[in-house]
Amino acid sequence: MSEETLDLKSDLNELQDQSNELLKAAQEVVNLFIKAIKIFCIYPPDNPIPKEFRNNLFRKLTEFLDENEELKLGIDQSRLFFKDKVILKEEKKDEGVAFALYRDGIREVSFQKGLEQEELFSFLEAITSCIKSILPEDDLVTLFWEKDLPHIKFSAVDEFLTEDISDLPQPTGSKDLKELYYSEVDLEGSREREISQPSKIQVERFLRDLDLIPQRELDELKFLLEKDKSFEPLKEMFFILKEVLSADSEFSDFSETILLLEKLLDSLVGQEDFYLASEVLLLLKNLGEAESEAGQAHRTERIKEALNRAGDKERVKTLTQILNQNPRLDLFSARKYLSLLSRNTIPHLVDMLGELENFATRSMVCTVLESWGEKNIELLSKGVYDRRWYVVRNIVGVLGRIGSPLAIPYLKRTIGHEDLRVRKQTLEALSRIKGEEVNSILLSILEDPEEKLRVRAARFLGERPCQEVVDYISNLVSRKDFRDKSPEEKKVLLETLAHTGKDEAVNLFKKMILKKTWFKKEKQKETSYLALKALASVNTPSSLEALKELSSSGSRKTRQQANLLREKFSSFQKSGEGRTPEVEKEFEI
Amino acid sequence: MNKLAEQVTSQERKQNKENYLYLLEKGKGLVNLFYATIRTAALYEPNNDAFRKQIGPLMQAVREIIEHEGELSFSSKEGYLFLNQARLRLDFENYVASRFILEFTQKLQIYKLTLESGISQAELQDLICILAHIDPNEKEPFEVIEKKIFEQNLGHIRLEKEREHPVPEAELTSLDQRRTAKKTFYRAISVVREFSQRTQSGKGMNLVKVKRLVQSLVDQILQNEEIFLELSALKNYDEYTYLHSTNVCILSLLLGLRLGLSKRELCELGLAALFHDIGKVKLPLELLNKPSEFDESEWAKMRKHPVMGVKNLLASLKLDPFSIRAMLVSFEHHLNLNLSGYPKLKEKRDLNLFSRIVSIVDTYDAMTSGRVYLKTPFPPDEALRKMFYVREKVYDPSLLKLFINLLGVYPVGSLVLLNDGQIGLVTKNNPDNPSSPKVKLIADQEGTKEVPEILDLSQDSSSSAEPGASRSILRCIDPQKYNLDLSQFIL
Ligand SMILES: [Fe+2]
Ligand SMILES: [Fe+2]
Repeated sequence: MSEETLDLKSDLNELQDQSNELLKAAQEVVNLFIKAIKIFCIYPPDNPIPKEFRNNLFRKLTEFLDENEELKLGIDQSRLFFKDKVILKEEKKDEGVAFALYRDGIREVSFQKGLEQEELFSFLEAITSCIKSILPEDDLVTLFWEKDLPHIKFSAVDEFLTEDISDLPQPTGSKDLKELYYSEVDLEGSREREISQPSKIQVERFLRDLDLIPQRELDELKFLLEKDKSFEPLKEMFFILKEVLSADSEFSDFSETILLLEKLLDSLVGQEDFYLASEVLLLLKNLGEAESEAGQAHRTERIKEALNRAGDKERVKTLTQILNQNPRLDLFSARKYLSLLSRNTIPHLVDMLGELENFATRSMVCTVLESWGEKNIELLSKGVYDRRWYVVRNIVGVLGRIGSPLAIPYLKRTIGHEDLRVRKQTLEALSRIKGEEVNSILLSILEDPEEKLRVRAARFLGERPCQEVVDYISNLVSRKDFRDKSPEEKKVLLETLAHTGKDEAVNLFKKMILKKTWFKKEKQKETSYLALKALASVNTPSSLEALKELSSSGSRKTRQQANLLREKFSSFQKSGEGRTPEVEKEFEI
Repeated sequence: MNKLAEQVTSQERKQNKENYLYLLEKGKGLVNLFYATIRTAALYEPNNDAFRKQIGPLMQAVREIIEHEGELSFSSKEGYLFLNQARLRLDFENYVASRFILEFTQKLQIYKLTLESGISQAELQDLICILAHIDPNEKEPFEVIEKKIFEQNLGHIRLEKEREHPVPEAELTSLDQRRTAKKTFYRAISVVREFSQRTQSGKGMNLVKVKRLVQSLVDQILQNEEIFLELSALKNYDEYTYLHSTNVCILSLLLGLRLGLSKRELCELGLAALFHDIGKVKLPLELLNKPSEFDESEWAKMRKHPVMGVKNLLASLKLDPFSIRAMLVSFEHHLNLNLSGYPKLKEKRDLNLFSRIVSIVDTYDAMTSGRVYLKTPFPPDEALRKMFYVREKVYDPSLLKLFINLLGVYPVGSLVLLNDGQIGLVTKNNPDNPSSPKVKLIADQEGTKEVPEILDLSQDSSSSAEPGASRSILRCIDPQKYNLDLSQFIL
């Protein structure tokens, strides 16, 4: 090999090394860039972590630019290129930085020397906001354009920039000025002109009047500009729509405008923009009220029709699909939207409960149903006949939160539901409804096969003192099978009796405490101890008297326990303290 | 980066931002003072009271900024004026002054003018006098100024020369810029046409496309206002409706620019202006192009277009701020400031800023083209005067003044008859002398001139008609009366 070729080869190698080095440097910057954006998406902007990343990126990028003048990146759907080499490949194809840029037509970004910190930060901010929202308000090209970034250049594909515009209006008319010259100059002064021409004095006056814009007008102008800064698009749009509708003097025009609003509503729902959709719905409602006040029956009816349509079966189906498909949805606005729909939508919403796939959306729909309240119990309660237990449970929950006695007939039905979860929910619902009618249903639950349910029912009954409860439970605890129940259930039942029966229960307790049996002695001991405790918790003079009696009779154990309880309770009575939770705890088994 | 270094950078950033805001704030006043002082110096001797009244406050402002910043410099870059490192924002309070300084320094080939700490009032005064009295026809103005500064020993003043070759004035607008402007102008027409046709057939329109168009219009208008003024003065197209919308868009943007609107606001304004008459798309063409005056029933149809516009925009099924602005402008653009126009409102309200702008521009374009409501067009100057005096309750008075200031009494593109019998086309407004614009002389008794000559009426002292007197405009001429195509002189 000659010396010359060797030289060339080492030159080539050196070049190769250089370009590798450059590629590495670019890669480093790009990695930082992607990291910074990812972190921006996670942390709030004033957090120190994204700040540090951002500053770091700026430092590295300016270092690169100082040496290489620019950093030009090519873009496709999921990759970034530097000098035609892939420098970044994103894991997922349809999200991430490359895609955000690509989606808005940007195919190349170039950072140039002289880049300022503010520019880079604005750039990052724009991209982050675009990635974060599914339906960004503006495209990136517009955002960048507005931000004025002199050291960041883009090339974007725009269908219309390459579009053929050959078919354009062409100027018409002659190009020769001779005719004009002679008629204008010759006729000057010799003919009254069609349009009066201003005299010199008029022009001068005009100029003088224009010369100064007085301070008052300047201030008004400033005020106008200032006011425009707080332009509220929606408020303005509603103003226009109201005026447009009132300008529609013909019913057909009016109906056409309402139809436009209906279509708009559909489109907004399709775009999953429930915020705007709610606003439009609200507008329609307000308009309807205004028309009705003005005695415009025909128009009122038309708006009603539109509102009904918004909540019809088909549309609720679409809503269900949207709610199932997009877990990131703004549920707050969705709820607002659903609660603005008309009454006719209630059965469809009940149906929707069966189709919704996640807890958050179901609970949202339940809140909406609940807001329909007592007046619509009958419509809402259709749900208790649903074959899906979870729909029934949700509806029972709604009925419970409404808390109206009107729901009792439906709850009577569901308390016998085969699914325990429904029965549980029914019990909770019943507990929220006032009135003695509920008591007998709660009492019937004391016979439910599920102990947990019985215990809970007993607890609820404790809060509802009445003769029926006292009689029923007195009877129940006197039954032979009572002692076989679990200590928990016995305890709760006895407590409930103490709480509701007070002095009336004292004798029964005494009897239970002193009762002796030959069989199941342990069970009986347990029962008698629990009865003793219940007796103490009655905490009246006659119950204390009974305790005193017991402390000197019965078994040794009973005497001891009765003494202990007596001391405690009489000392509370002296010091005037009530039954605090701590005290209760001390007496737990 | 360690904590300390980070603190330092963030402090630096804060400092930078504060400095920037300081310069922006001070810049406004300084630019106006500088402008006024140079203009006064051109008229009066330095010992005149009027001049002294100006130089005192200017000196104070200069001193204050130097104390704060170390030095003070004016420079220009890409059509923007910089005070030290801060790009000054143009708005209606300093527009004329900033433009003046930009053009003035450009003419003198000065790229950067720096005043150093320690400058005395005498030095500043000398500098102003040198600048104010430089011969406008001087071939190498920069060198002359530099020499004078050296001779008069003004040690605290530094000048830097324009880096690129200064463009000869006649070709200030390069051919390239003109071509791009024309292309964008035509693209605008085609976008309006497409939007109108799609609306007519009930199809939606890609708003991004329209936004891009308006964005490129804004960018190009920022570079060169005059060419767009010239383009908007051409009315001799068959498809007048689309042209009208494009003109209204351009003139609205120019007015918005002068008001200091942000780029985003300009984009919204431009879009709204472009579609202000979208409510007309369903009106029959015979009605729109009717050569004679409308009768009552035709008027009734015409009066519906603001409301129809709202409906058409609503049908595009978007509710972004852009569309809503457009709806508002469509609805309000014939309402008039005192709400005497149409449609009649149920509720009283203040017209939106954008509607006020579009309403002025719309009337002006309609009056000067004589196609829509008036069948005989008014010359531009007459249209402006009519709007100013006859219909004063109809338009926002200060916006109208600003608009007339922007156009000049004889707007760019006007065909004018001079007192020496020549016919010219106005090419540039002189903001401080609105009745004496620059004109391109295009015809005399021989007919169309082969090579048009540019004449600045504010600087003219020779007249072929009357030796010693200066030439001036006699009146405007309506090119449509002669079915003329002036585009040859513009494009
Ligand atoms: Fe109009
Ligand atoms: Fe118009």
